[in-house]
This record gives sequence, structure tokens and C-alpha cells, in this order.
Amino acid sequence: MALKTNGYLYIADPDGPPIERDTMTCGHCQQMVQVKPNTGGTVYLIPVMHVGHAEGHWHYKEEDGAFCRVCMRPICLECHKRGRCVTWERMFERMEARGSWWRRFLHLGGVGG
Amino acid sequence: MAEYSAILNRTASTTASLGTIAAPASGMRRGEIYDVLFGSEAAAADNPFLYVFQRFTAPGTSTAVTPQPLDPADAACVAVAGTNHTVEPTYTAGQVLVRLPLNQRSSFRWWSDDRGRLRYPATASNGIGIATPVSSAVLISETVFFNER
Repeated sequence: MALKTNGYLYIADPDGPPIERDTMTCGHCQQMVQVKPNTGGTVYLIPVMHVGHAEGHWHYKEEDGAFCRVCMRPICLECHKRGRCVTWERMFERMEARGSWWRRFLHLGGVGG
Repeated sequence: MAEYSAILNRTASTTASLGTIAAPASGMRRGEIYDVLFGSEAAAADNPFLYVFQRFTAPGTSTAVTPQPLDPADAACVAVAGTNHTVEPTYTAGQVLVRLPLNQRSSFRWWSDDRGRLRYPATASNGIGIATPVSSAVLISETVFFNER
């Protein structure tokens, strides 16, 4: 299934032609993932740095993309490994609820009070 | 929904962070980063940089930057931006949003539509920081465009 990408990156490199790629943002953790051109977003490009190389060269490793059939969104490979659907909206609701609970706790003198 | 830009310059920092955008300590609102440009204005050199965007729960100590509304009629920004960190933000392990290796001489731009934006929650002092964990104290400038909901 071809997925519609939702971002775009442009790298101007003085040593070579500019690099232009579509990107997708994980529907769970919001990690930005580069996608291989002309694959309909089904192949991700994962940057791998050459350790110890003086000029800092790197290459991109191709990996199969991932898609969550619960929230019907593309997801990153780390979220795919976790195997649970927690959308970013749900994650934010939890974070905001935790923050407001903590503020109420402090307001009521919960620490040392 | 007002849109803002923040220009972050790491000139004399002692940390790996380039800059941060965070919800304030009170009156928080969610925000969305949708366009980022950065590059180094240091003398040309072949240095590897790994640029990382990562969530944090405390913004550390930095020089405040006032985000500018793209439409001057919009209200002042609620979010707080910072650069030239002397104390690193408290980054959340495992919550890296962008990982991008680049040469120092390269410049970069990323932008997205409304489905792909990098969002931070309306939680006090939570936000997104941009850092080069491999290398610090190199001049780098970036422009971050974001909005508040």
C-alpha cells in the first residue's frame, strides 16, 4: 500500500548534488523518518554513520517501513518493535494530565506540607 | 493559530545543545514545529555532525530568545525559546524525533504538512531541543518555525 508522505527535507552538500527526500512522521512517537524515493513510503532510509571516518561520511540503510493497523498511520521501526498502539495524541493527554496532577499536588502543599 | 519564528545561534555554548523550544511554566499551550533550517557559519571544515531533535522535560539554562510572530498582528508567543545553553536540558531518553548526520559544510532544511509536524505537549517546561551530541562549541545557526494551538 502506498502511503502519502507528510514532510520533505533538503540537504545542500558542497561536495555533491543536493539531497532531497520525502519524510514521514511516526504516528506514535513523532520521529521523522526518511523514505526511499519511488517506494510509496514503504521503504525507510536509516542513517548509519561510519564510525571513525575523518570526514564523517555515512550511508543510509534500507529497511522495510512499518504501518499501524490500529490507528492506520505509518510508524517508525522503534514503535513497530514495541508492538503497542499509543498515538501521539494519547501520549500528550497522559503527559498533560500528569503535569496538571503535579501542579495541583504542589498547590495543595503536597511536598512537605 | 499563530505562527512564530525563532532564530537560535550557538556561538559560545559549552554544551551540545543548539537551542530549545518549550512550553512555559504556566499558561502552557501545545506547539508544532513545521519548518527548520540550519547550518554552520564557522570556517569551512570537514567535521561530522549528528543533529538530534529530542524531547525534554526541563529546558536547562540558556540565553532567552523571543520568538517573533510571522503576522505582526498576532499575540506574543507563549512558548519560551533558548540558545547558548550552559546547562543541558533534561532530555528524555528514547524520545529522539530527528536523527540526521551531516557534514559541517552542509546545510539542511526540513518542513512538513500538518500531519507530520513535531509537536510538544502543553506541559510546563516540556519541549523539543536540538543538539549535536557528537560535537559541541561549533558555531551553528538555525531558524525554527512553529505555531501554537
